[in-house]
Amino acid sequence: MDVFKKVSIGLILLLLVGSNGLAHKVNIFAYAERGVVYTESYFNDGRKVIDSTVEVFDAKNNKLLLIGRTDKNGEFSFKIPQATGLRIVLNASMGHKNEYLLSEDEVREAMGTAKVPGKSPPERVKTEKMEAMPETATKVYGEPLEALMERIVEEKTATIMNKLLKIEEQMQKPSVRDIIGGLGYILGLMGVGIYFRYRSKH
Amino acid sequence: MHISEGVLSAPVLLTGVILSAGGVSLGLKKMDYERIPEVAVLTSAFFVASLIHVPIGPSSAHLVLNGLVGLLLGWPAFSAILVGLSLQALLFQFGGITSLGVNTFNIALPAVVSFYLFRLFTIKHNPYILLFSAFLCGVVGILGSALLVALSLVTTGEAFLTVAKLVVIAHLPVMVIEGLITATAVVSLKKIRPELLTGKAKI
Repeated sequence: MDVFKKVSIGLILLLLVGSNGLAHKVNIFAYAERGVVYTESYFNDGRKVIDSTVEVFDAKNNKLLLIGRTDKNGEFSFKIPQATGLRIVLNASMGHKNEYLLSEDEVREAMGTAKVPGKSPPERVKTEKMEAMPETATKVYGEPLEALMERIVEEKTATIMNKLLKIEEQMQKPSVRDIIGGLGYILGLMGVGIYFRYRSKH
Repeated sequence: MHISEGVLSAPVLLTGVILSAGGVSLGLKKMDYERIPEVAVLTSAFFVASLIHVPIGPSSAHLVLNGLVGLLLGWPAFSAILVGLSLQALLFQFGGITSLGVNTFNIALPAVVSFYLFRLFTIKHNPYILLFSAFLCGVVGILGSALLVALSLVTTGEAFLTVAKLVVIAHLPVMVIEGLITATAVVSLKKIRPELLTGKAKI
């Protein structure tokens, strides 16, 4: 069993190396904001997926809505084509494919803030009161209060959005627990095989 | 190397399943009980190897080690690779459950082919022949898989030569590294446990 000991030590070393460098699988992550859907695509070692096709489908009836390509940062953004759930499919080369489902709620919310005609969100009722106020109360340094607030919120949430992206990326990576679990399964199968050998001997 | 879920059409997936099932049953038939631990160790090596990512070259690729697994196991490599791929699909979401048949065949067939090509060279005692044939064995394993992946993707409407070129070029660095790993492993096994390299087909 000497050689197996050596191989096992080798495997443990591989495992340590392996938890840093990762393999080939593609991921796509999308979020909607102000009527635009932003997508980010990356291999699970963190490399961006460059110049690959992104297809957008209607989540309900699977109708192809639009096709685009990722840029050199692995990003692709498009105007929301319709107020339904969107299934965003990334087609990287060599048989790599993944998808992300953007829910209808998320899409509708993003369209609401973009003031899409016919889909006015409920908070718009407040504007009547605001109009009654003197103009100076709704403007700060000449900038409409609403625009200013939106800008501030966007700036503040940008860091959170980035963190979320990072967490999402992290979650796609195999954990040490998965690796050890897998090795355990293999040992278990070996045990089953050896069990049958001894059973057949008796 | 791992083709994802939903890329290939049903007939291709089914063909993959049938071919792999044939290979696996042949492998199980040829697996002596004495060799179960050996198969398990190589399965583990194969399972973990896909996590080692080779950052050189135009695309990101990872180690496969199918040449080494094939050279040491022969036909049982099919069972080892099926188990390894299933666990990778379940735990890491590499590839997919439906594409398991095609992926197993794409990776295991070159393993068995490199076994038949190089098994007789591994009994030689000339260290240069040993080193060179083991290196080639690692290269052939990856090259064969890359070509089979390209062949599977032809059915999705991509031109064979374009995909083949893309997949082979992406895996060139991996081929060299696998060749070196296989050569190191075989040479050290020759010293420590020469009985593992019998070169017998066990038919």
